[in-house]
Amino acid sequence: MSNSTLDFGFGLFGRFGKTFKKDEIIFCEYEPGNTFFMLLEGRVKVAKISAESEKTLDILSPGEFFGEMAILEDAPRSATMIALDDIKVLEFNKASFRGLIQSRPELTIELLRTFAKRIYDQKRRLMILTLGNPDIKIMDVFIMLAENKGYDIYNSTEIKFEITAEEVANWCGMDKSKCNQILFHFQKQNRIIVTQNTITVTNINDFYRMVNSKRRAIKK
Amino acid sequence: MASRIINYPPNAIIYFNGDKANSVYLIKEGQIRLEYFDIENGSLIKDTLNTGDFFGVKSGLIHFPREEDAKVIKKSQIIEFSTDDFEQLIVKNTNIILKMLKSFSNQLRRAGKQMQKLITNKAETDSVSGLFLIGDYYYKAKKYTKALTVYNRFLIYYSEHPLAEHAKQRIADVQEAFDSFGDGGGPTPSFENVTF
Repeated sequence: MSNSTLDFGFGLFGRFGKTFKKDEIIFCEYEPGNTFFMLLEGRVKVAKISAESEKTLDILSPGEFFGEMAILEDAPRSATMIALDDIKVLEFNKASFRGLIQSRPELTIELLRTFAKRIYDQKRRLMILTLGNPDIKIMDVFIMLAENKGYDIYNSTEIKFEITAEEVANWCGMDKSKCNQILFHFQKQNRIIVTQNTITVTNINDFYRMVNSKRRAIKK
Repeated sequence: MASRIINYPPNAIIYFNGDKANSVYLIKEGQIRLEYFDIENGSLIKDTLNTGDFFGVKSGLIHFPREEDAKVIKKSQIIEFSTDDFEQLIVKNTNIILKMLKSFSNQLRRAGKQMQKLITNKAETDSVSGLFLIGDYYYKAKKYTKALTVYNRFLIYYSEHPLAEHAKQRIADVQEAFDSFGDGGGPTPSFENVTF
């Protein structure tokens, strides 16, 4: 998000500001909610928790917002939000949100843009999840990441990503250990090179052809 | 690019899926249809839009590729706004902004539900059970501080619900475990799964 949003945010901290400590739960999925948050400092984890497991869907950075669906749609919270650091947020309810829209309309254009981007990201992730085969899912994660970085996939071969195996697993909704197994297998085949904080795909075009071939097969 | 009014005959294509987007459209008069494939099952979805409806908003706002084919059904007069002109138009109109935010929010929620189904292979959980089970997850994982937070929130919202008594018992048990062992310590708790 643009810096102007962040500047604007800190100016309102006196009226709408709130802090949470690292590891604190901001709100749980299923809670009724009527406030939305703008993140000013620190990071927040978006999690899906059931009786058996916790999966990270996303990590939000300063300038991003969350909880907006609760005040736009009168619906329960759709995920659990946990502070990854000590964080500072602005919290708005329906009335103050409406006031915000009227007094700072440029902020709402920014909100619309962020929503639009989120919808695209969700749809792209859904495309990964609908590929049944776990190997192909992981390949499509790398393709998605390359697309996000603006790479021309047709004309690229080797691409290095600053990403961990755990993050790859989160992107495709897979168990960490299963994902590690597949990445290990890819490494043995020289498809990828894994270091502590990076994964290099040696030929992204290969991945692209295999994923597309699988998608065409699904459509038939 | 300058904004303009365009007259389209029936069956004309306004844009194709994948086209680069620099504009947002408003149907001044007429009817169009948006066609795209469902991500999950590959079926063709057709959405009909009429006089007064905007389309191409998401892609136009952020200059991403179009997500659907836009086809003219009845002879139509379409206003093509440049992204800048569209932003100028709506920035003063709180109601349009709210309407669009709600529509986007709705789309996000639906996509989120689809993702949930694909990631967890589970059908939707009701809110009461869902919140209680989050508490159980943390309790089983010996994250007592978090478990206490969740069960206490449960009681705030559902103090009259039959599960409230179970939540109170959980709080007592978790507090005891926390006092004895601290977060992460002690034996793995075993407790009855509460039936809903």
